[in-house]
Amino acid sequence: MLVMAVWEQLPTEPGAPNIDCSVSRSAVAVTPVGSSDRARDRQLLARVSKGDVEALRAIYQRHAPRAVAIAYRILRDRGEAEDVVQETFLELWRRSSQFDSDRGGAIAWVVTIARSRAIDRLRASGTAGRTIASASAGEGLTPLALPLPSDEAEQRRNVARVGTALAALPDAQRETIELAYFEGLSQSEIAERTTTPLGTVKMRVKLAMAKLAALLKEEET
Amino acid sequence: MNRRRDMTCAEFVEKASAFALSALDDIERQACVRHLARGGQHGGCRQALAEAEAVTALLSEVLPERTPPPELWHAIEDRVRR
Repeated sequence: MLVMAVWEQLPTEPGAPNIDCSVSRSAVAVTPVGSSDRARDRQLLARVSKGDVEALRAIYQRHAPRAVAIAYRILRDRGEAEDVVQETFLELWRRSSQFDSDRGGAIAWVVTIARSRAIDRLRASGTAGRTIASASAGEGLTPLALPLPSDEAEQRRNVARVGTALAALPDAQRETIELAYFEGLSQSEIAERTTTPLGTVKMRVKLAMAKLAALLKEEET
Repeated sequence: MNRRRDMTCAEFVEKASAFALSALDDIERQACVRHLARGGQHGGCRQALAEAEAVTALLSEVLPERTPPPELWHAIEDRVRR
């Protein structure tokens, strides 16, 4: 069964329950973009929903590098990663009117789609977990000094605070999150690969995510 | 797990992090989707999912951004202008 982003798994036909699974007010405190960025994205997405290709291009220019990064990290193949990014922005083009841009950032949406598509490919090819060795060797969730443009200081701060939060996790929890997020492994697969009881893996996921949320909120305040 | 039995809100909240990470097995994931799709009141489900999604979105920030080649945008543009 292929992985699908949460937003696309929910009913969309008229009269369907109004499911709000976007970023909530309290969760916005840990979203990666500033309010001005979100406002700009909101305006662009509104234009995209009306068929404005130039607005799509603007969103692409802002967020495609991150989409390529996450797709490449999961697939380890530039061509496949670029295919995923193409699918991601075509999906955004088709579904932009369904996006609740008042409550979530476009970048979160783009990353979620790209990551889901990449995991779909990974699982379809039966190669999920193929990069575990390299991840275990230290290529995983490590804070990186990125060559970001000087006007993206907020993004630089986000990189630092996410890296700090990850570094604060116990090794086993960090590894579990890494295997799930970047290798596309399910909890059962993680348990098998790491020869860890499934219940322990589930607990590590829960504890790590709760800790990350708390740490990121602390950093924000 | 009984596949026919609806998941409770407490069960969903318990699984929200793994759901947001796409780390659930198929049966559990489908149960989560069905739970979210049902109408009526929820007990913290959306809040738990939103917070987990916010964290997962941030995780990608530790990766170095990769500039796509110009041809990629041209391919997208060709598709949307058809």
